[in-house]
Amino acid sequence: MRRENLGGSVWRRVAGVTVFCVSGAVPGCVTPHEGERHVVEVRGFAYSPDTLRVAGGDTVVWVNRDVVSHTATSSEWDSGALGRDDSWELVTSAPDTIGYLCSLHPAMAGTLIIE
Amino acid sequence: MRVRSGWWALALVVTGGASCAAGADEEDRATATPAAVEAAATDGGALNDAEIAAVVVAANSIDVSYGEIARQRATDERVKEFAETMISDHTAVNASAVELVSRLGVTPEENEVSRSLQSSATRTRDSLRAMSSADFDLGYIRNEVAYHRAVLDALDTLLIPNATNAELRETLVGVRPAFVAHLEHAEALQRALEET
Repeated sequence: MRRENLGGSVWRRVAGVTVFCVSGAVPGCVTPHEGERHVVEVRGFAYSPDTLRVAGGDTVVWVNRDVVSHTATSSEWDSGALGRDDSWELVTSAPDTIGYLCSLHPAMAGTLIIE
Repeated sequence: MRVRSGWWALALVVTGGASCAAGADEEDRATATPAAVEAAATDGGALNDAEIAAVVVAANSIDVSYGEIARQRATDERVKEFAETMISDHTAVNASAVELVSRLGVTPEENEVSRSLQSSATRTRDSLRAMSSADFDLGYIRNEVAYHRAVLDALDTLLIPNATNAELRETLVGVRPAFVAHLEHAEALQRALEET
């Protein structure tokens, strides 16, 4: 899993198998408390939801459910190519509205609103 | 006839798309098109699941082959990136389709449509290879626009309606957005290239 900070944020990525490591949900699987966790599914060449509002400190996880690779790419961060069932996560920080797209399929666009 | 329309469009575009894109005259198109259409028309319309699988594999493989030519010949960075995406995406879609039909115990069955597509694509590849360097980027992208429109039409009018296995049908419906996204991407590139 790859994980990265956005101004103190952290990103994670799982290759091949997506592991949702939620504290207390899986024995031995412990994650630090980072606020609420949100999942953006990439399916059918679209981000779902395509607009997501989160609080600073929340974690956003993009999970690719398509057979082809996708990215979540903004001017500030880039997931890199996510294959089928790969995921990548971002821990948010300061309030911002960030547009992002799939660099491989530019018609795919999403917005992350950090409040 | 509804069934045939998508099939004919696909046969037409893989045969004549690059010639048209390269600005070839009508005579070239006329000599390039009828054989594929005639061959496709002899089958009578409906395809079974094994034949649909063969058409899907052929359609994806053909666009991979166009992308491989573009990988070598394209000069515009955006076109090069698009070609890489086509190679990657259509290879992935094919792998998924092959995995599915293997699991279902279906062996793709070559048929008039798949054979026609392959033979027509050979001609299109020749056209792409014969284009001048100056014409290639736009020629390739115009062909991609035409090709993806035709594949979408074939999906909607031939492949999805005729698929009887639910999983195969779901897979076809599931890959449709890929072709829509590719078409939109190619159309945007075409506009950009035509403006420069």
